[in-house]
Amino acid sequence: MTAGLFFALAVVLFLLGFFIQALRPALMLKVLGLNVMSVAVFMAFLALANRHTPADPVVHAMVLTGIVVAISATAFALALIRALQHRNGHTQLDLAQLDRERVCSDAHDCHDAKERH
Amino acid sequence: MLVAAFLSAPLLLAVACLLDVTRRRLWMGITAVIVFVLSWSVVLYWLDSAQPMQLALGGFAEGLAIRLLLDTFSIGMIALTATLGALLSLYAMLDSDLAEHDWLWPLWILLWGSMNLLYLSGDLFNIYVALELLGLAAVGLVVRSNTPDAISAGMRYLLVSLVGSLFYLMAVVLLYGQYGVLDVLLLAEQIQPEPASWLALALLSAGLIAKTALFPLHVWLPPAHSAVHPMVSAVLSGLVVKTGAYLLFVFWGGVFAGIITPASATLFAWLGAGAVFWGSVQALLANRLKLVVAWSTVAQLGYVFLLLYLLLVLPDPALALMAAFYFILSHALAKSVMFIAAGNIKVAAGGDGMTQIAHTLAQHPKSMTSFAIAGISLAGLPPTGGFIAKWMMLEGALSAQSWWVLAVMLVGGLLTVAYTLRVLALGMSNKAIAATNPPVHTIAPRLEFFGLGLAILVVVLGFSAGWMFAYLPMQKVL
Repeated sequence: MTAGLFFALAVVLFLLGFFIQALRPALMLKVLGLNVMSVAVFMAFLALANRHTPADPVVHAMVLTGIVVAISATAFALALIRALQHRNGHTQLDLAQLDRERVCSDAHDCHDAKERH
Repeated sequence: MLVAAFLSAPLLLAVACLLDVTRRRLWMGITAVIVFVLSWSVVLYWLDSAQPMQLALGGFAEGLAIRLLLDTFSIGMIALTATLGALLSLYAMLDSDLAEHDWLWPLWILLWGSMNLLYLSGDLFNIYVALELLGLAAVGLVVRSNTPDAISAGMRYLLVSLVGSLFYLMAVVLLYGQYGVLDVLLLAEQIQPEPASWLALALLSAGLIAKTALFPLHVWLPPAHSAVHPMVSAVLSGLVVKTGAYLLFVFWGGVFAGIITPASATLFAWLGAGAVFWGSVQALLANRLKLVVAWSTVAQLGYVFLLLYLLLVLPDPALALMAAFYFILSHALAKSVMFIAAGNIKVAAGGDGMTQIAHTLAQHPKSMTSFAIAGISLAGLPPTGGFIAKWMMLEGALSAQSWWVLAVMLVGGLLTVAYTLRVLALGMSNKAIAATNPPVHTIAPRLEFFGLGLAILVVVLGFSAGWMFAYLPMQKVL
């Protein structure tokens, strides 16, 4: 399989990951979508590295750094999901929170939902 | 050498702060002093040497080295980050509500260090690493508040930040694949108008627009910036969002400058105008004080992008660049004052809903005055720094003959006055009730005086543009 084919597949995976994380409300799926996106970017990088012989070492360094960053970010995201699960009992972002906060004139008493710090 | 110490000091001190749990506040104080001194040493060293200055890490040859680039714009941002960072660190240390073991201390040091790294990076991948570090530290600061709102807002911010970084990284892949260089100066020389460059520019712009909360990708900002401690809000609104704007200036005005058409720059004019209007309208409607201030950030960021549009369409970018820097500087300071005032009022009232604070506003004239001065600066009225920035912005719009950009800037100023007055009027019209109602908590006077002191600095900025630009003449982006 040529580098070009891998690059094309990487683009497909990137879009797939992006739409998963954008469209699915479940947070776990969003994090998985992000992981798919990052794997896609690394695959694209490695497809480029493969154009030279021996393979381009700068690309390898960048992909390794990227993997480390992706792992840290995923770990952080998972910890946050656990915290949200613990507090809210579910793991979906509260879009209603944004609507509650938006339009509310102070002429009448508005429902200040939760205690805020 | 000096620059290496400057970059590594925050990261090493953050580790010390993290590990020494009982003395974190002290470590923060030590770090703030050290980083402030190092930052200004770098600025003075740079002023004393040939400019722009470039350093190759490890002494490697061009093309292989990771380059650190110090030019007027990045040095200006470093000076701003150092000064405002030190002041806000002092504010946090004066706040006795923050515990010794609070995660704020090490996270803020990491954030500060990552911002410095970002401003000096002259290499695409180094910028990516700095962006990720910045994003993770910022999200950490948001969720540290540990309320349901903060954790949701932090999750949303994390998702947006990571998607933005991945779009940026995909752009780096395309650029490296096409040109084989990661260095921004080499890339600027070699860039050609071809689909790979345009796609890369589109991808990294989308990522950075999301990270800098430019309309319409601003949705994550108000919940995140209003759910946190006022010092953190000030840092996020004043310093963190500006990094994305800085990078967009570097890429559109520097790296890709050779292949951009003025027509494509109108994107930023539209988004900036949208941000100004939408942010101001939402600030007028918001039901919490801190949300008003957070939406104000969304609106003010619109001006930065109107300036990017002007920078790209004007033949001489110097005026727009200086206006952008001065705007960023005065906005950072004014927004910090606003958040500090809002935070003090919230503590005093026991919550920051507009009806809740109505009774306590008039009992805190120092905070109200700071808020008013900050609002005056944001609206661009004299004698504040915001006035100088607005004057330069209007000059730029006039010389580009963009009448509708001019109109947006003027109407935006009016809207800013409107949402500032909304808060002040609330306090003034409830003076009688306020006299009989005691505040829920008493704020330490030093916190209010600090806000007032920063507000005085905002006014000082109204008179310091001349000497500032004598030392930092900004001719072009790269």
